[in-house]
Amino acid sequence: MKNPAKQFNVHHSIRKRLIMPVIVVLIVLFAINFTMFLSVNKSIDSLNNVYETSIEINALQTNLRELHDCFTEYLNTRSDTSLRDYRKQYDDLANLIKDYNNSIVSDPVLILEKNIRNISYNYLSCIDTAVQKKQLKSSDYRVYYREAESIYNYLNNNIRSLNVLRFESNSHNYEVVYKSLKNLESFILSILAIMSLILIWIVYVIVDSITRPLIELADKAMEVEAGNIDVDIPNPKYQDEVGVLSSAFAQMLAGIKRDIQEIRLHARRELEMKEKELVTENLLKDAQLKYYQAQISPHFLFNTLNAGQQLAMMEGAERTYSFMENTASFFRGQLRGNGAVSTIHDEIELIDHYMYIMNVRYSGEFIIKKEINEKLDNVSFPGMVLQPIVENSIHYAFPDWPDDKIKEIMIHTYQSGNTAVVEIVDNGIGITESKVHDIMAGPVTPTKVGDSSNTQANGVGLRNVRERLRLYYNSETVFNITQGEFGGTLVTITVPISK
Amino acid sequence: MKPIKRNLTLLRHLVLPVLLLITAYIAIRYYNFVNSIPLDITEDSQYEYHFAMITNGQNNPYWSAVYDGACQAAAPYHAYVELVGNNLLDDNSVADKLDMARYCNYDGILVYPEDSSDVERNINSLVSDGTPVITLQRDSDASNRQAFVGVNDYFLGQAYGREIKGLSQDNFHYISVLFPGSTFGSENRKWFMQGLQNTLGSDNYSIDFRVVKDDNGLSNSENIIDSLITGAGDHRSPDTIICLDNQITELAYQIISDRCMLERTSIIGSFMSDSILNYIDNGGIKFTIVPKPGDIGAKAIEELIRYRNYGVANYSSSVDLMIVDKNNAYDLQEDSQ
Repeated sequence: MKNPAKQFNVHHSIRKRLIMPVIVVLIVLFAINFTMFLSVNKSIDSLNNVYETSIEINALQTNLRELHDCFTEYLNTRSDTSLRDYRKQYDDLANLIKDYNNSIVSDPVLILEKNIRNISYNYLSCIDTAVQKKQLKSSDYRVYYREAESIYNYLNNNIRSLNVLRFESNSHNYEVVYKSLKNLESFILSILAIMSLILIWIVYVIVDSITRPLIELADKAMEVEAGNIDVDIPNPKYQDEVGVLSSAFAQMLAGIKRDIQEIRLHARRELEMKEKELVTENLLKDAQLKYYQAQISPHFLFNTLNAGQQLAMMEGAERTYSFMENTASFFRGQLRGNGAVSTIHDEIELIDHYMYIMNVRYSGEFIIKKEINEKLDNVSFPGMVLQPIVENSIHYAFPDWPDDKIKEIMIHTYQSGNTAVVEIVDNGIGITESKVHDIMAGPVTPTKVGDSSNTQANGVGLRNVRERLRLYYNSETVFNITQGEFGGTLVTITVPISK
Repeated sequence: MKPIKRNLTLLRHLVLPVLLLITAYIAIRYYNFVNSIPLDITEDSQYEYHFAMITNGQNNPYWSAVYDGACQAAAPYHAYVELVGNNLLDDNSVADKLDMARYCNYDGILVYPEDSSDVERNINSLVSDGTPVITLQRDSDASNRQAFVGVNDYFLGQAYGREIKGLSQDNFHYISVLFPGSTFGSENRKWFMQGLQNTLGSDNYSIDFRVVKDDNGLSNSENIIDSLITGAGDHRSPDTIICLDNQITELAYQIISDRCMLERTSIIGSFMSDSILNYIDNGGIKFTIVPKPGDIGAKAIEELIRYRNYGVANYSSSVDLMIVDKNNAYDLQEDSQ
């Protein structure tokens, strides 16, 4: 079970955590002091009551004595003055008496008050009768006077007794109040001392809870400064400013670690890229060299073929003219496409020229079929990639091929998702697994241009094609060579349309 | 280092509870102190009836016991019994207290009457004012009191006779009875002596009596006791003195013990005060006979309530007598303390 106080502290700022306990302690102190002051006031009221009750009883006693004097004087003198005074004192006594207790209770003071009240009323009744008798000039007033004398004595006895009882009670009350005030003083001092201790303790605990994580954080920072970034920053107990600082420091450390890892990864990748670039550069240099070596010959051939083409036209040799034209177009395309960015359409056109030449050379042995998706015609494509594959089929797919069997090469372009797929398949003898493995994983070795002994007349082999495509698209899956579904060799080139 | 750190952690967790406990302890102590001695007069319960009990010795343990019995019996009827004069400065006579009671408007009065015409007159005045009056222990049968609760003087004399017989004196025995004149009128004395003599017989016992008169608080009891024990005239000193008043009993003990005659003259008392109980306990007084005080108070209240409810009360109700001797004096002393 979680501590609610701790939970309260967990989400509060240092300011709140410092202020709240102080406010609570101050409120408690205020409540205690307020209670104490109420108690003091009550005690003071009790002290006042001590005097008030004594004053009341003395007033009653004085009033009774004066009334009795007036009563006696009137009976002796029958003067209007004494009668007026008598009436006044009579009313005063009646007023004083009416507030006295009239309930039957067990407290001796209150029961004495009740007796005084009853005796007083009987006394007032008696003296009133006596006065009336006197006014009526009846001699019976003497009987009532004597009775009033007796009642007066009883009343005096009771009032004096009440005074003594009240005095005893008030003395007792005074002693209690005095003691309670003395105790109150000690009590307030004790409570203040304890509350101060509690406050000190609370402040100590809170300050400790603030400074402890700071000290720990400083230690960790020192370790980091010393070079150890693998230090473990513990989760902060409180989400206050120190907790936020600690979390931020931990996040900063984690960020530094992540950045360092990324930098290392980038460095490694960069190294690999540089290696690739070097290989590509070598290949390009090699290709460039070949290009420069071969450049003289195609230009010469191209011009020569143009001259031959004009000659054939002037002589009316149309087939020769056509042959010369295709040959010139092929060389033109080869001259343009080697090492440059081309399109699928240009590459297929280059194949058409090439196949015309080959069919003239081999008496129309090869049939080229095409299923072209014209939407893909303008897709970028590295130059001089498809022609070597077709050339490879012509040279290696049909050895010892019977005359009655067709030599067919099929070119198929289609879209698959966001990629353009170019498939070149022949109906030849197919390809062995070891050859496939050799093409897909074998090293790239440059060939010399014009090496007539090499069957790859243009000097660019399938491995060269594979590697160029891999480097161009930075992908291992762009080039694939397999056994065709109905025999023969299937070369599949998958390139992104957006490229 | 770890044990020290653990101890410090333990200390930190203990500080607040300990301080709060100390605060609570101090607060409770202060609260108990303030409430232990009530400042003001507080009365939660109010009563329906206000009865008064009037005696001539309100500070006497016997009458205190009677008063306690009355209070206990009155409580179920929501009646409060006031021991008149207990809180008054002037100690008035029973007659004056009865007179004063007329003006206090009590709902009923229990009184131990003195044998005087003033008492009778005041009782009659109270009764005529509509305040029922019950006499306790001693009757005032000439007055208009509603009921009497106590022991008939004849039976009281018999009880003394039985106890004296139980002392088993073989020889001739001379007994003198000292009557307090204020409470034993001639009729009372006659019935008491009759009961005593009928019980003891006249063969082995010679019985006479003296009346101690009270003259405004001063009695002639010392002279009477002196003359008795010195054998004035043709009388020898009595073997047993029966004192029918607590003052006479205490005085008799004082005089006889001063003269070292306790072996010669036995004292038999009446009532019980702290001194009398002490004398009984040390053997100076043989015994006293008193009506059971609790019974008297309780029965008197029953009669008052009956009268208030039904307008009638038993004219005379008897209560059991209690012999206070060496066997129970100490316990009674403890109880009264």
